[in-house]
Amino acid sequence: MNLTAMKHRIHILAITLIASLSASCSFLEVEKIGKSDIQTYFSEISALEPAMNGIYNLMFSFYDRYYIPYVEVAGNDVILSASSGGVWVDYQNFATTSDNETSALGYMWKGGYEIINNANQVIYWAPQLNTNNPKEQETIANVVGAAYYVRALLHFDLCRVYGQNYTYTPDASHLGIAIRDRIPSLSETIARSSVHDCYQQSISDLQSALASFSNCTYNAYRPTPLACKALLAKIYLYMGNMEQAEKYASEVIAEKPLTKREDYAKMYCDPEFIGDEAIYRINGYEMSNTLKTMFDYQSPVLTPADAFLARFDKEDIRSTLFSYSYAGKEYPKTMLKYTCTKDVASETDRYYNIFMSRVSEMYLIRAEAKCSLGKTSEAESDIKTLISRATGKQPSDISLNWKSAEDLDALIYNERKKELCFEGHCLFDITRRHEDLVRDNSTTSTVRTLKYPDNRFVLQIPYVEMDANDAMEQNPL
Amino acid sequence: MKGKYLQFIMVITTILFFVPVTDVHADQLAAVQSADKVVGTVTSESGEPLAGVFIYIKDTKTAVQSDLDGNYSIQAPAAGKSYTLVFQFLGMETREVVVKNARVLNIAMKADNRLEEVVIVGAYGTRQRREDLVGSAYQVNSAALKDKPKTRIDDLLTGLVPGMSISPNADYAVSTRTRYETRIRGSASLSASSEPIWIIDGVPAYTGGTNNQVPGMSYTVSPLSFIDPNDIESITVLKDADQTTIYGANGSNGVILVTTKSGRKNQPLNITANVNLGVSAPDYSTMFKVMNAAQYMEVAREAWTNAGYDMSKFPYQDNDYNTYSTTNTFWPEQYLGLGKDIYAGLRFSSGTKRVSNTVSASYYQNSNIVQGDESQRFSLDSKQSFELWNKAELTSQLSASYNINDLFPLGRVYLETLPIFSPYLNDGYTHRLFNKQYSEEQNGFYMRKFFDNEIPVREFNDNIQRSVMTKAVFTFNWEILKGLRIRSTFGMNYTHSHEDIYYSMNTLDGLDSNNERMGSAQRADASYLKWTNNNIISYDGKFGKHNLSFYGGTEMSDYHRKNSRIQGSGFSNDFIKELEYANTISEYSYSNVDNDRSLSFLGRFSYSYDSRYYISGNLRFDGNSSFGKYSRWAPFASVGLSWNIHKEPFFNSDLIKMLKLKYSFGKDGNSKIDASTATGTYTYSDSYSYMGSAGALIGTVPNPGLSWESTYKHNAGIRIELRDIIDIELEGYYNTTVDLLSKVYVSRTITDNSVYANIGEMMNRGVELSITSYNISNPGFSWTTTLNMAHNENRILNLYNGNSRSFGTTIWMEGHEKNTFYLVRWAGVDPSDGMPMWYDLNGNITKTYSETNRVAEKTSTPIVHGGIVNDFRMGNWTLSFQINYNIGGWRLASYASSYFNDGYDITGGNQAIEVYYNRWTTPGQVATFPKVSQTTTGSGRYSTRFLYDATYFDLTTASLSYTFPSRLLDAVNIKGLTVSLQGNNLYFLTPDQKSDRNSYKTMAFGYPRTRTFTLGLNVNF
Repeated sequence: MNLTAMKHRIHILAITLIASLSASCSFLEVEKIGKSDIQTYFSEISALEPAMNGIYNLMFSFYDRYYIPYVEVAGNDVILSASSGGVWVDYQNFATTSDNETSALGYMWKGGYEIINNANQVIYWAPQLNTNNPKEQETIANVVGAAYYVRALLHFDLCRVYGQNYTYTPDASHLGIAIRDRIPSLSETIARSSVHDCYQQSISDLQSALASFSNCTYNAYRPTPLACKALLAKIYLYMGNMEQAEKYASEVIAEKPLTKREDYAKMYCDPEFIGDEAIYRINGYEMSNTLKTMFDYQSPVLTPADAFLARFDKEDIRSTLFSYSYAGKEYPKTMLKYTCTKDVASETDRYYNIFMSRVSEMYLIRAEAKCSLGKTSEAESDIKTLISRATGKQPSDISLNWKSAEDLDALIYNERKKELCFEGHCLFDITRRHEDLVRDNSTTSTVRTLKYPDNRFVLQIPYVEMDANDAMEQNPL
Repeated sequence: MKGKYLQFIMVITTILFFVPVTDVHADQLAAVQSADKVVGTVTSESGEPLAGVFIYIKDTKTAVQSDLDGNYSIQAPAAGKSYTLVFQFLGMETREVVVKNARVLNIAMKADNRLEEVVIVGAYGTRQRREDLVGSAYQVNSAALKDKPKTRIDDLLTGLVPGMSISPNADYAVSTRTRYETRIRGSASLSASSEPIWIIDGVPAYTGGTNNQVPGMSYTVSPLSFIDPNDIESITVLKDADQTTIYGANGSNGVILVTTKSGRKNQPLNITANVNLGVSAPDYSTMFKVMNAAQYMEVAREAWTNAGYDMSKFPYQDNDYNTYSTTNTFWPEQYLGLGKDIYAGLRFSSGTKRVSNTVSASYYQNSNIVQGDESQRFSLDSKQSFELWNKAELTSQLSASYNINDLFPLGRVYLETLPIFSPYLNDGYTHRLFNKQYSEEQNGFYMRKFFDNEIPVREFNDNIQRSVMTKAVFTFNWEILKGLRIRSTFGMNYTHSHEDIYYSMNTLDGLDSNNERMGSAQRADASYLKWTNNNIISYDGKFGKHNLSFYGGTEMSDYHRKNSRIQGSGFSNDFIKELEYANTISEYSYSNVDNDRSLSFLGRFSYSYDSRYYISGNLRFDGNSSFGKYSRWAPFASVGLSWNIHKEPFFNSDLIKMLKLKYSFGKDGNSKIDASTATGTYTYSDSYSYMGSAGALIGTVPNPGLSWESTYKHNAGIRIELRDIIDIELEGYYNTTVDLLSKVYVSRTITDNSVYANIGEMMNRGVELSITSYNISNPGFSWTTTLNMAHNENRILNLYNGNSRSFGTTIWMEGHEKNTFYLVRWAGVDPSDGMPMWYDLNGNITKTYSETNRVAEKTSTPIVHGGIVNDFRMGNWTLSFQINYNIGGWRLASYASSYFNDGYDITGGNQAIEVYYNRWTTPGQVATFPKVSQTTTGSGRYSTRFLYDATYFDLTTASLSYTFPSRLLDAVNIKGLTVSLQGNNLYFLTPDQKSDRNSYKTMAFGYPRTRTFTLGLNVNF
């Protein structure tokens, strides 16, 4: 071994040592494949569309699996099958407690907030993409607008489930839900706000959304300015702020027509058909199909109640959704709003889209608002528009029998029940109007009537939330 | 008769022990006649005469003892004839002197530092004498492992290391390749892994994921079974801070260092061959006892009637397809039987002045007692050392093994399948896939799928894993200046497994929902690559009485895990199997990857004065890519002290040869959590899509405050050696883990997933005792006992918000042990109506089961556990046996909670034999088992009824071996030949065992234990 060779070796060794030390800085930066940290994820504009898709995906299952079934089961328009009602029996009997963690009570709470949290990420990160993507400002603005809409919608809907209706106390100071208007931190205290503040949050989010949307074109399957206005009308109706409700409903009606009579059933039963009056629908392609299963015409878990079906005249186009004949068999007392009756090439094409807002609801909101404001004839005219579409009669041929505003209001409510049935309104219309819940004799529930007010009109906060969060207040049983 | 028997034994004994010797005696006699005497004095090194020294001529029976003055006189062969004189004295090194002409021979004997001289292998290639040890390290050498099964390298340590427990992760049949959990000094973590790390020849070994499961494979086959235990030279278990802190983030659960065999320089070629042939059989006394057909029918009918059902609707009524009334199948026999083990290994070692090398090759085959379950291992291991230039050495180690695991993952069906079902159709050989039974819903008899019959699964389905494990380690070691060394190691471990699963059309698994023949297959691959590099500079210096050494350096490692799976179905016949020809490929096919890196800076120093006072310290900085930027780096440090009192001038005791005190304190960490949670993640998935385009959602929420789990470890020990007879080491430890990581639920308004949080503190404290006693130490006969016992106490000191967390049957609660049972207390059976009873929280009897009545009491931690090994040596015979024991601690026996079901759903599965014998039948009867009923009475819900005291004594190993005297072997050029007979898992004793009922003995294991007898042959050329 000569000296030069030895020196050479020492050099190599020294280099190896130094190299391994200096490699330290970047050595620990490992790219996680399939998932990325949030900041990295939102570093590119391409993040936004998938992020919104994820949110819409969650929304569909939120409304399909828990929200609409709950609002209907707890309402008075459906009969729950005694044998296959499963966990829904408790909801029909107003017998749930905070223990119902693994059914709608628990899932709506966590599912709703999951949607809100994902929306918060978009609201926080998307504007930061403007710096590097000056040409994409409109895209970014519209995504942010949509995220604001989602946040407003979920706050409003969760507040209706876990908090009493807005006018339960005169100043709406009773408990609503926890407002989540930013990216959460694990250390912060999270408590429930008043219903007043929750509604204000939704309204301000919708205003932010309207301010953000920029050249947003109509798309029935995504939130748009039109959807924001429709939701504002609805929120104001729930608050009893009839001027604002009328204003926003009118703005929407001015922009969108009703679906034609001949297309009425098609807008439910043909997933490819959007419907003229669609303001915002959540698309159900490759999603869960709980509502279809629950209203399955062959083995229904839910069927329309007799008293409900009795509201319809024979010629009412809407009643065509309550019976079905297929393969030579008749299925009476069914409900087809979530059933694709079209012949489809593949079973994945057999889906349904859920209405979040449609123009018919705007007519009903406006009618109720106008009636309340004393503009009874204008209110009557709105109702006649809907009846005309349903029956095929000219509005002039329709005569409504009412003497007072109260009479008219009852007619509007009847029309509302017929038009918006099984779309997630039933229970909340009852509580909003401070009515008693009355079920007909065909109900399988142990609760035939529930007088307003009652603690059971709202769900308890799931116990896992109570356990994990000391600041959370429970609803009384 | 008795006398004859005794005589027989004596004759046999005489033959066995003395035949070879008397053989010699004949020519010895001749020698003695013409012989002189050899005389002399035996002294110690310091010149003191030694009395009672045993002196003998090798390979003869000629022996004497020295007198009080150390003088001796022995008959010796004639001058000119060469022979060997052996001087043996307890506490002194045995000396062998070759004598030819000498007639006076004065001998000075050196003190035998047999114990002190044991070299303990430490971190990063260091070696130190046990006497110099400051920390807690326990070493098991190859000799202690030779009689163990050659299956895998972890469970063979059971009972050998104080404070270490190795136990199966399930007490019910779930996989024939049991996963073990290893705990050193209890469990230091709540949710992060509590497994120690295994380091084989300096490279961290892959033992699977956090709970030792192998991601990507349907059934875990532990990578620790891919190593030939025969290649192991020593296993050192590092336990306290002084020893483990140098491993920083991975040290908190202890470290297991495995060193494989090496060649030696200047050694002529040495060839060792090992052959083992084993036969195994199920130990049915450890199998859970279920009812036979007659007992079953009686109970089933009674349960059916008690439930208010009409016997005309009983499912098991005889018909043309099934004759239930006459069938009696003992299902365990259908699956279990004799197994066998074959091991053959060959090792070549040799060395020249500058090169040493060793190569070994081995083959191992195991046929399980679960028939149809087999494994094979082909392994190759080689190690070469080259002296590149003066004091610079390169060692290269390459090893590979190929493992075929043909699995038959038999589940609990072997116990619970109804004895009134037959495995075959009435023709006696066609596999039965259906049973014809009565059902009210089906309006009569119908054909019900017989999923429980796993015999066709065994016969026709494939479930094979083929795994390759390779390891390469290159070490460069160079002493640049005297005492100053550099050492650089690059090691790599690559493990790849391929899984072939095929569900044949001849089994129910291979039929589609319309019972049409379909066949389905799965193919999966999982690979794991870890490389590690460390570069260490070290210095050892001696200045007078001062000894100073230190080392320091860097270590970096990287691991990649990849796995993929593809599955599909629809084959034209059972021979095709490969998915290329499947009709449909399932959408559940997937692949994924995981990558993790760590970088560390480490250093250790130690200083000692005059071999009396020792101080050592460790420091390590660890960085891990799994942790967020906020807490990517963590420091770990420790300091240790020890004092060799026996070396003090003032210490003068004939009795106490060694007295040592030691103490260490330090901080270790645990990085074994599998998430990068600090920044939060977004996850893409097809299942988040909307209108057909992919979506993404928050995967984990940002959790920036997360920090490493740290364990503060105190260790204090005392070691006393009495006169070379008994060596006692007692250690006590107190470890506190702070910032315990666990997933906790936070407000659902933040996330519905539980998130990692630092939630509390937990303590483990305990004592460990290990005793080695040289009870008898004569050249003709010796008896050594090694005993270890350990006691550990675990307690949760505090938890996030003081919140307890219940996991169904166990709870985490402040002030209690980690896994304290949380159960409703069983109150027995009401004699009036045979209904089950429990206690409520106030101790009142209730007949309503409610989880709100759960009480936290009893734990699974034993009072004391350990093992005892006895070695007897007589002439050329060796007998050794090992008993492992566990005293105290409770188990919630899975089989009790599954099969003490008191008739509930008895038409669905067989139940325990007690349900037949002990059931309540008539009012007033005091029974231990409730009235049987097909519908539930709740009696089978979790309660203290199913808790069993886990005390046991386990005779795990007994071996008898005979080493042929070299004299006989010289003629055939064999250096050594040992024949042995060993038994494993011979007897499992529990205090509550009964021959005709179940007890902890029948519920400790998922399958009956495998009792193995092995004949071994070890030849050395």
